[in-house]
Amino acid sequence: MSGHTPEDPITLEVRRLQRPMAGRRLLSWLLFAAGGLVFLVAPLLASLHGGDAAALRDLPVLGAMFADAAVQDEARTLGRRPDPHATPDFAKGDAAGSYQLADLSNYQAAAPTLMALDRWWNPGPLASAHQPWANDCRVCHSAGFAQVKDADCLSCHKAVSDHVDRKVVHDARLDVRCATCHLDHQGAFALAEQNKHAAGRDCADCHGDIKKSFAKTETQNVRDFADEHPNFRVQIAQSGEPGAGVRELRRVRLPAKGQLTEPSNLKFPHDVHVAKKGISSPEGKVVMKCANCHEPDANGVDYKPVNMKDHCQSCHALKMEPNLSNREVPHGSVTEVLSTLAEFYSFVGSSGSVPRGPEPLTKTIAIQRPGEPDRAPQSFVRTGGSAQGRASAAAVELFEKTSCVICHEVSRVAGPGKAGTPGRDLPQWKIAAIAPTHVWMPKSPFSHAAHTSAKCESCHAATESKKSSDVLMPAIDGCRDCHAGAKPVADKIVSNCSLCHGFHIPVAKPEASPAKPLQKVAAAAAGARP
Amino acid sequence: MLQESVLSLGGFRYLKLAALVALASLIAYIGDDPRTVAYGGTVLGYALGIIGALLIVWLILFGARKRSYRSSLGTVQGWLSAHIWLGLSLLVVATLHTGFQFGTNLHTLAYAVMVVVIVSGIWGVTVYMRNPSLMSGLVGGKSLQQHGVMLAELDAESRNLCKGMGDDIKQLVEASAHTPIVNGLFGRFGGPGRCSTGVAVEALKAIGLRGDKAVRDLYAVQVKRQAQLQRMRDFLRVKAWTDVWLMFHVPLSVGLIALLAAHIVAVLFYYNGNVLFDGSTFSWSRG
Repeated sequence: MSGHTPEDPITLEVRRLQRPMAGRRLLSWLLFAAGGLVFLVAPLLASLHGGDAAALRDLPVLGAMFADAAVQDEARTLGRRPDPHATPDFAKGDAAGSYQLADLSNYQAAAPTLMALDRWWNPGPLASAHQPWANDCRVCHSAGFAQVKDADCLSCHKAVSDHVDRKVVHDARLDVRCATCHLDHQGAFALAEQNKHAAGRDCADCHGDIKKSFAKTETQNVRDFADEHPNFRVQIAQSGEPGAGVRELRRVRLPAKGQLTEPSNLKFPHDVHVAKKGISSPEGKVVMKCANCHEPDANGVDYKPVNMKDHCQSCHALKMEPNLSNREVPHGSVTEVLSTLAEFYSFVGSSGSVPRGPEPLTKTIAIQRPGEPDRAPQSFVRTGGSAQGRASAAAVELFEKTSCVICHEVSRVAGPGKAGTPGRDLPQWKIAAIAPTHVWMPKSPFSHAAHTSAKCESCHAATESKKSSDVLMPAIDGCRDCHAGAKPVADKIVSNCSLCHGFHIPVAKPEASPAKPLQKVAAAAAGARP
Repeated sequence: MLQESVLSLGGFRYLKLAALVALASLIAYIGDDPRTVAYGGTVLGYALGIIGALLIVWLILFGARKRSYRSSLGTVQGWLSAHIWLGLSLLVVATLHTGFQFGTNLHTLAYAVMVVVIVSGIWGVTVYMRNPSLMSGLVGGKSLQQHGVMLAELDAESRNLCKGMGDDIKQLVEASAHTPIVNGLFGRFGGPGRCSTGVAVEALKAIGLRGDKAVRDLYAVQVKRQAQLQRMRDFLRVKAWTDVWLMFHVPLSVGLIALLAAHIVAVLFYYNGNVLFDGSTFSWSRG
């Protein structure tokens, strides 16, 4: 440096000033070490050792860090945390609904990873239903450095059904993990949202050409609801008399023309009952509404079964002496009816009076059957003969003319009746069993509550139905008035597959007799939609 | 600005590369239709994550390349240009990798630190662009050492001129010669400080006004010294602020390496991804 010694203060100062500011290297190391320890080493050690705090305490060097924690952790987890993987099934039942959960009532509290050291690893909030286990990663992540296994999900979610029974058809495209579609750590309500939107996304991959995947299927190709969806298949009884043991239910496609029917053994003309001009009742003419008989169930999704007492009997009274008494025979077995008649006319014979009810006589509707002459209901109190003769005549009137026969298929059978009952020696009849109710469209749980803005008759042609065997399920065209396909259309609802269909479809079982109550079957079907 | 700055190097070669990376990521993201949601665990999420991680590692290697003077792997200028532009593209790649899912966790912390590093990088580039002297280390075409030599020469000249003058003037000149270029720790950042050269200039100005030509000559030399000091101080102030910037940029990016490693281990340990390999390599010991 041209004549200046190194001791020259200016040169020294310039050299000092040119050096980078001190501390950059130190700060770098500090940040690296702190970040690595807090976010990598500590959580990894805690996770690897799981709830086994003692193992951490025994670690060389780092063990001292965990000395207190290990003791606390042991105390905290002592006698707790039953493993949900080992819990017994909860009400496994018939799996019709197929969404049973394991019994977790003894699952007290999750044991968090030691000191929750791995809490910063959590990529996002769990679904609300999974939050009780939010502190115990191992409940779902049963192994490190591996994806959550289906077995982890199924240890709580018992008996989730497949899309198709694997014994029936096996397609590699169905070999997806639970988490392929159900992705947690996406927020408290994300799983519910995913179920609404994600299911059905890839349906057309297989269902666009379903025969290719499964040659034997009766299912037709579906690509989109708007124009590539076949008409609906409605489940109806295919074999066996109604009520006679197990019936096979099959889904039959609605015909393009004509009416699909299912024998019901009930005489019920919808058109007469809901006629605009009204129908006779004890209170005079009334115009009936669908809701008079079809009452929504608790969820508003489906309807309670119609029953005689609440929905029919106010008009269809079962009076034995309608002109003289309000007394009715029970709506029960033939034996009960005949016994009541035998006792009634026995009393009439012995006392010479008619057993009236406490209330004044109410009006009776005489039902005139087509082609028969108009006639008043007969009375058998004043006719001569024995009490049994009167009871027999009244029974014939009741079974074959005025009451039972109005709604039921009634046939005379040879006597005698049930031994030991008062009606044993009266004429005997057989009432054909009424077909039990069942779900019409099991593959698409339909919510009536979601469709209250529509009138009943806009989907169900009840005003034109003369027979109860008419299956009044609507065809697809009616749905398309409001529902578009996946592509948005003005004034219509975008409708992808998952709007109506679920992915996990319960395995259909032949219907047992006696039939299940409608609600139970409907609830099971509704369960098919997560 | 320079004719060909570090930004426009090679006809904006690295700008084009970075734009390509960012644009391709963006198009892939917009075109992607993940089965559930867009997040780091989808196929595209993993792809963007791997690209992002490789970018981060490469960006940090710039620190090593800058120091290895013997390396012939491209010029440092070229590396810097690529460092700047690809660093900017990382912002796009990593943001799309997140699928815009943020939370109070390690993963978002790593992202946030990365953003701070990149933003501080943008600040650094701006400072360098506005002060080309920082790049060359030259002030008015001369190095700081040369400026130091010039100061010393002015001091020698001053001492020569004041030989026959009174002790008070000699003291002024000596004090001026020994005044530090920057005052203490905060002097670097342009903080106020006593400058003996300034004091000498003021005093010599007052004396010189009385008509002594020799004092007026000495005054002129001290004014030159003051101007010379000012040039050096201006440069050192900018350099100090740049050093402070590097105090953020460099340690945070080193810290980011730790967070990135933690992020990768965490997501693979509690494997929330929907792609790649399956199968357990490790089972819990349930006691």
